[in-house]
Amino acid sequence: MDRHMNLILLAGGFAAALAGAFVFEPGMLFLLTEVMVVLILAQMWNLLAGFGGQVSLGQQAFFGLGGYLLFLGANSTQIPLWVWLGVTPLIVGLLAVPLGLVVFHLKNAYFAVGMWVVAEILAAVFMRFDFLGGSAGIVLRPGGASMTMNPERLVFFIAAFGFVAIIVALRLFLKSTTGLALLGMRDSPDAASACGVDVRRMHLMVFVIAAMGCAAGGSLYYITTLYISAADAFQMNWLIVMMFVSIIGGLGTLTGPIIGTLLFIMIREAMTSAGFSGGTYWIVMGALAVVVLLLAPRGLWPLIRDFHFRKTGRVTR
Amino acid sequence: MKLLEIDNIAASYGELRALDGLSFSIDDHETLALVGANGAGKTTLLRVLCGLMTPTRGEIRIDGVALAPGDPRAAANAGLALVPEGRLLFDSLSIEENLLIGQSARTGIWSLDAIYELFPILRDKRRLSPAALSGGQQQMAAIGRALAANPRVLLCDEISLGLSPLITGEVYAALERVQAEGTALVVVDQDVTRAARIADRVACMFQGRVTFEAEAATANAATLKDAYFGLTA
Amino acid sequence: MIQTTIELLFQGITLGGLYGVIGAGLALTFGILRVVNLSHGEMITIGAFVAVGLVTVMPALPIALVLVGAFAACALIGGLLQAAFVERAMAFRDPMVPMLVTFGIAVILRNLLVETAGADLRGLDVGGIAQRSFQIGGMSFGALPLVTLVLAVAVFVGLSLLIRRTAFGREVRALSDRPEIAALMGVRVKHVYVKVAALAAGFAALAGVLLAMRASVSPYSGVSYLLVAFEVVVLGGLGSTRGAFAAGVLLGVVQIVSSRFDSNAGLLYVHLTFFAILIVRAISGRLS
Repeated sequence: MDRHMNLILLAGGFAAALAGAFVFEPGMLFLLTEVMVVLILAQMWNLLAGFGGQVSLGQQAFFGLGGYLLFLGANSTQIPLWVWLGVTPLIVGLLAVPLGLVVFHLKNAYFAVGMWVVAEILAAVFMRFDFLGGSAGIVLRPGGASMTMNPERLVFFIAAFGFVAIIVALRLFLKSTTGLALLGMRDSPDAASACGVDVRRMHLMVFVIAAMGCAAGGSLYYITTLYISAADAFQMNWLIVMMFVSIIGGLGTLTGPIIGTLLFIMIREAMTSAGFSGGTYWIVMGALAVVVLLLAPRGLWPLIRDFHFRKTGRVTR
Repeated sequence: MKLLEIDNIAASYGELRALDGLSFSIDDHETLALVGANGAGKTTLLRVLCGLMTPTRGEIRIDGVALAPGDPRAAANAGLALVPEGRLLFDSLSIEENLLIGQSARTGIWSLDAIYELFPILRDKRRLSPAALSGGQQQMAAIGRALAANPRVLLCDEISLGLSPLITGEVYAALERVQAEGTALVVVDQDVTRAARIADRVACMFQGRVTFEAEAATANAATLKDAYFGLTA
Repeated sequence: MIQTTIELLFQGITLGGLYGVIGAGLALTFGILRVVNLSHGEMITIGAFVAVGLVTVMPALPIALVLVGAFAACALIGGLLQAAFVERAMAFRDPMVPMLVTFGIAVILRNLLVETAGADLRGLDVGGIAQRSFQIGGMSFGALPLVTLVLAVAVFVGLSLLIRRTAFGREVRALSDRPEIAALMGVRVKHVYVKVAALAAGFAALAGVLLAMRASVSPYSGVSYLLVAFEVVVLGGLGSTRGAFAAGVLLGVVQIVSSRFDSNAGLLYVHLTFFAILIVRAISGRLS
């Protein structure tokens, strides 16, 4: 049953991503790609905080790094852009290993803010040095030449199918022995470690996967904009988005962040077309996050699910 | 009217039911020895009494007035004070400051001087941190801190745990002087006979209920033992 | 050369004193309430903007009253936020909930400030005092940095006396040790929490006013200051006011000296110093 479900998801996702890439016009594709990127980011923050129990306030570091490494790599070598798109998350994942070994010495809130400092350091470094783009930022010129194709169709396809693949991978992972150990560790680290779970290694694994996912999100997003700057790529707002979306939708569920993302995009588009400023929009999102945290700290999706369960007696995930 | 009435109290830790419809009462000036095996619910009962835990049902009354459940400050103001298991003194405060914190609730005969008279050693150590005191002295400070609130009922949890027989004797001697001032006592102690000697009545708990109650003078060691191990239903 | 060094050190120490004050506020809320208050940075910027507003409306207002006004405004905001939101969040067993709530509050406050005051950088012009300076042995010391340093020291001494010598401080320490038992002894836990939150916000406001006099602030400055405050707390150790002061001075000196040699690096070297110390501690096992 579950295996069929995963295959259906993959096949359906592939078909939908392909169809979408051909059907929609560029403006829509740009918005939808952003939706997919936010979905990926939210799912990564959710994996780290909701399943792994590590709240990080510095995931924008990996997002920005993903964008920058792609631009720097593609611009200064003859290796094709699309190869770099695959390689970038791997490089970021490798960098995340030593970083994790250091920041894991910080616990809980200290870890959360310590990661934020890491993101600030990266922002300052990329801003400071001209060979990394400096304050002017970098324009995407693969191999030193201007982009000859419009990348949005391919990028949308990769982002959309990539997101579905991530969901399927997470479904499989959470059912596996390692995934169950992760859930056990979140609920009771001491008990899990007494049962022989290597807590440190599990933490590191989740940390690295989340870093890779965020980097992939950054790479995909900035291909569509063709320009990257440190002020944009490492900004707090990327973190705020992935965090609010996960919290509002429901941390520790796979469906919650999806619902949160849809809500996020809908509210933003509605408020923008109604003429509200960006500041007002963030005030609304902040208020929504605070209200959800105080009244339904598990998020909206568990509420909906429980309501549905009470009505039908069936469990939906 | 009874001083303290506990009426059909139930409390649980998640799925685990620790108190299961428990009732008893204490008169003014009365001392109750509360005994029972580990896990019988003695500590839970004391926690519920002083508002650290909210009961799932039942009522606690002092002088016939119901106490707000789960409100430690209300319990303190109504005259319930706890000497917790393990002392739990404030390590960042000197001994005297620990006693002063105790004074936050009610005023009465237990001034600092009265407490120092009861435990002269505390006067000498009043500027020190609790960490610099021996276990017995810490227990005295914990009793003093609870007395500073001028309780009507002093609740003592595992009062002699970890203390030498000599110190235990001193602690009980102090409790007798507290009795003499008219304060009611609830004493929990693994040393059942020691607690029973100071008490007017003995109550035995088993699986979250009081299964046996008797005048301390007439309590038969064998029946008490049966109740302790749950042999009387 | 020596004169330049001394002047730089002096500037670093005065800035560091302010950093210490910011850190002390954050350490206070974390030590007592066990909440990492991520809206602490916003209290700094709001304090600065309140001062800017006061000076705009009443240009003749003495600087002492500007400080009092900013302190009072932020203490009120901080206390109200604690009573209305953070207190509720603290009821959850997961300590991350109150932290995330303060993060949400920070986002709201920051954008409220953008909407009401605009996103521009603002300076605080307090007239004569900013230009005045003393000449000692051919070296020049600004009057403003001196006032800043005096105020920072006063905050630290005052805080230390408040915590160690007063009945309120006694309750604060008792709560920090064993909140449950303190409640049992009749301590008004929520009252103390609200007062502590108000005090921390007030300190942040004082620092904010003085920072706005040194350099300009924008609604987005709060984030940087929050991180500096956090670094001060981690480096200085929780509950150690002297440690906070020392850590603040270290970071302040690093910033002044580094900006002398690399003027557009911002807080890069401050963050790097923090991270380097963190790595050393991690390797030598002095953390966790």
